[in-house]
Amino acid sequence: MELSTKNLYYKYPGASHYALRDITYKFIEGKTYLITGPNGAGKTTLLLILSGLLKPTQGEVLLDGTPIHGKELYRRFFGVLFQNPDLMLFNPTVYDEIIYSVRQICNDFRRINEDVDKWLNFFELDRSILDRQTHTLSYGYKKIVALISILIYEPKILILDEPHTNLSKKYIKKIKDIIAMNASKNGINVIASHSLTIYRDTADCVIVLNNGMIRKIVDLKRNLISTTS
Amino acid sequence: MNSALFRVLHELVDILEVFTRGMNEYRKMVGYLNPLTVFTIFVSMAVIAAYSSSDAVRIVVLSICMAQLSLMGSRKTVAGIIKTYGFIIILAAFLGLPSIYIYMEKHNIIESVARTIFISISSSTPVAVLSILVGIKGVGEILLIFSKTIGRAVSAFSTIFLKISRLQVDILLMRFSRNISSGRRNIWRVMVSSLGDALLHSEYISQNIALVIKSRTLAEKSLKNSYGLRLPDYIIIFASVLISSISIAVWR
Ligand SMILES: Nc1ncnc2c1ncn2[C@@H]1O[C@H](COP(=O)(O)OP(=O)(O)OP(=O)(O)O)[C@@H](O)[C@H]1O
Ligand SMILES: [Mg+2]
Repeated sequence: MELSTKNLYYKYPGASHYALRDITYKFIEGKTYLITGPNGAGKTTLLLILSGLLKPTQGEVLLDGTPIHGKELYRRFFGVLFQNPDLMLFNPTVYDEIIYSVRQICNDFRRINEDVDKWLNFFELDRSILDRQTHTLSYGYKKIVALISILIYEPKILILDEPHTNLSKKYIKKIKDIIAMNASKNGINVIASHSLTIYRDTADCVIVLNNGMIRKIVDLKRNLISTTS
Repeated sequence: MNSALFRVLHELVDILEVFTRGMNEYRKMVGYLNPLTVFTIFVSMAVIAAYSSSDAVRIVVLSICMAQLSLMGSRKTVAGIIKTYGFIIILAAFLGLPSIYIYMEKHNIIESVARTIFISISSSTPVAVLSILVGIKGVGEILLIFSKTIGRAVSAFSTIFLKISRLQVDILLMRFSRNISSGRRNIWRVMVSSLGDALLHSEYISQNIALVIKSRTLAEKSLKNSYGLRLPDYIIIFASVLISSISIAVWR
């Protein structure tokens, strides 16, 4: 599996400048990529385009050579955790929220419920959380619930926007475990974050964005640095 | 800023939630009946109430609807619904007023006003009750059968609308917390600025939620795969269409 972009440009409707310019890159299976850069660099925009949610103004995102934009078939390959979990949740209770996506592709409720239990155990959450209304959860729990709602359908490509912010150490560790697990199963992880230190031991490759362009690519495992001007 | 206002606002959003999402109890029932079936039942009741000339039939339709509501709702939701529904009835009555002229010659005026109100209420109730039961979102899902675009738009609207209302209440609370003195001028300032920002926020929020919905929709619910029509559905749909045609033909 390979997710690639070639000469990608993106401009928000109505904006005067490009949010992304000339992005060419290949994301390879089994690897974890960290996208970093200052505020407004275009990290979130790049993630939204990579996952096929926004249509590039120019260029294309290809999964194994096929363009993905606008094809519902490819949605189940991607698990997207948005920067603001509050906006991700729109079902009445936590249980409805968690099964929202998986229910669309699986009718076996016994299996779904087993998976719900599995993920609750993984995050050391009590089953009583399932009946809570999502808007009454704390920010951190909203994030965890949003994450479980993605993990439960086992997407191969995890796209995580600032996954660790506002989480306690225990949960940061668990998120890193999930990333490692997905990589070992030959999935692709793309993480956007300001923090290099947190992901130094997890990421294989760091992509530094600034002003919508790739400025630097650091291969952490082989200690290779390439700079683009 | 007094807490009473916030209680009222929160209660309002809760009522909105019932309207957009429908009732929990109903959603559990969907396991047994197809939404299309429920839709047919209520629409036939509306047709019967609108076209039949027998008032007894209308009373039956009204009582079926009321029974539905009282069977399904918890006390809190029913109270909220009755308040809101009272409002709808007043509106319906008001909208029905011009049709006085239709009956002017046959009956005296008071009688004709009462009749128009009665007819408009009894024929609008089934559809109103349907939307309370399945929620605007559920109505959107049913509309998907007829038009993908309209159905999707209605479900997305209901989601976004509720989210924005909840956020709006939170934003008000946060902004009021920044008033140190409770002068009337400060209160106005907060109100006015939140209203203006509501427009900007809602654009940002709806863009984001549209992306979220897209990313979390793995396969569109279609009646074929997730709620297949089963034998009881066919029987009920057939029966309700039959009853409504009979009632129009016979009880005129
Ligand atoms: N909905 C939008 N409409 C117009 N412009 C936008 C929109 N969202 C983002 N932008 C612009 O696109 C650019 C990149 O924004 P983006 O959100 O991708 O940055 P980011 O790297 O994720 O920043 P942060 O670290 O603050 O999350 C910024 O200049 C921003 O102003
Ligand atoms: Mg961002």
